[in-house]
Amino acid sequence: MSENLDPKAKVRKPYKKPEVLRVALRPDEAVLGNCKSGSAVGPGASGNCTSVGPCFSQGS
Amino acid sequence: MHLIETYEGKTASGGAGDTWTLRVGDIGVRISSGDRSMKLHVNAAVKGFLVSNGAADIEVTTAWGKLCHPARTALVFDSGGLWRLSRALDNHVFHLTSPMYGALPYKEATFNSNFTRGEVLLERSYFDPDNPVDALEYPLDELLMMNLLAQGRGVEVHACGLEDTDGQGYLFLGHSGAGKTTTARLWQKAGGVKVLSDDRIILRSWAGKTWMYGTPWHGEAKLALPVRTPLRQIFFLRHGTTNEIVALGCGEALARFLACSFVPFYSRSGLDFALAFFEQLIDSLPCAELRFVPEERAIELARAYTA
Repeated sequence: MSENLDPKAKVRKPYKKPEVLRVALRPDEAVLGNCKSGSAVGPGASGNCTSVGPCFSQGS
Repeated sequence: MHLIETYEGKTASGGAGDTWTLRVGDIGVRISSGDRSMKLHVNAAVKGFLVSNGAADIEVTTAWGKLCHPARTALVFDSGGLWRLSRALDNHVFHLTSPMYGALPYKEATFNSNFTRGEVLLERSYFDPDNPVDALEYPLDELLMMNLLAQGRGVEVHACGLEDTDGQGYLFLGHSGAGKTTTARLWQKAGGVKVLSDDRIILRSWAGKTWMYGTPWHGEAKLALPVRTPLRQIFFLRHGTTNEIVALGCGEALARFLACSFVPFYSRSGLDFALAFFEQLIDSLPCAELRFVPEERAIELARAYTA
């Protein structure tokens, strides 16, 4: 039995493990540390900033 | 599109108090009030993800408590904002504070090591006992889901996800301001498209496919559907002056996925899992940057690139 040495045969590129050099994190968004989309949180908040005044730590 | 079973109304009361079951990303969270006087409440978006039955991956009870300032010695992670994580024996303890109320937490949530059981204590002096309470209110619900996913289940990403008219699942990732909600509205306007979320998507792989799931944590367009669809194409969004698509290398795509994901950065195993998950995803599906202007041509370009 011989191997298929046809140069036209489609060969998948050898896998190369990706290297991450730099990650452009936005820490305030990534850690869920802030209010989201204009909503306030906690007791007294009704999901609307107008009920508790301005949101002090708004993120996304 | 696969509709996940939902329940329009409130689940039955029983035992000590209210019980609700929330299902997001095919992960069940059951929350029960341990006090008959405590009525539970969820916001409108979360209500769409309540289910009437089904297994729960985690059982959480909630009750009133007398909270105190958390000891700093066992601190694992400080978000710099609304929450901190500490360790007590093998348990994970989240303390939630609000700028309105100062440093004393209004909520303390304790979960066992593998996040199968939990207890949420609410500082009674902060709450009106006559009003129902949202014991898993953001950010606790999303933090809990992030940790449940990190145990080998999947990853939540900062993205708009939608199902096109032909059933193809598109994922558009980006930070705030990148154009997720704009994209959701643009495609929605085109007609026949189902937007799973305009801000948060859960990704899970099973049965040889990667699935996108809608979540209750929507963006400005308030689009949140309790459905899943198979993922076909991944775009990282950027506002442009013209519409163009630029292919990304594996390393660049991996870095961007990590930048647009919600993973427990304080957990080595959680990070390892997320990296391996994204690596597999990048190897199996096309990733590119979509520079767009909000016009129908951007949709045509994305469809043509995917075809």
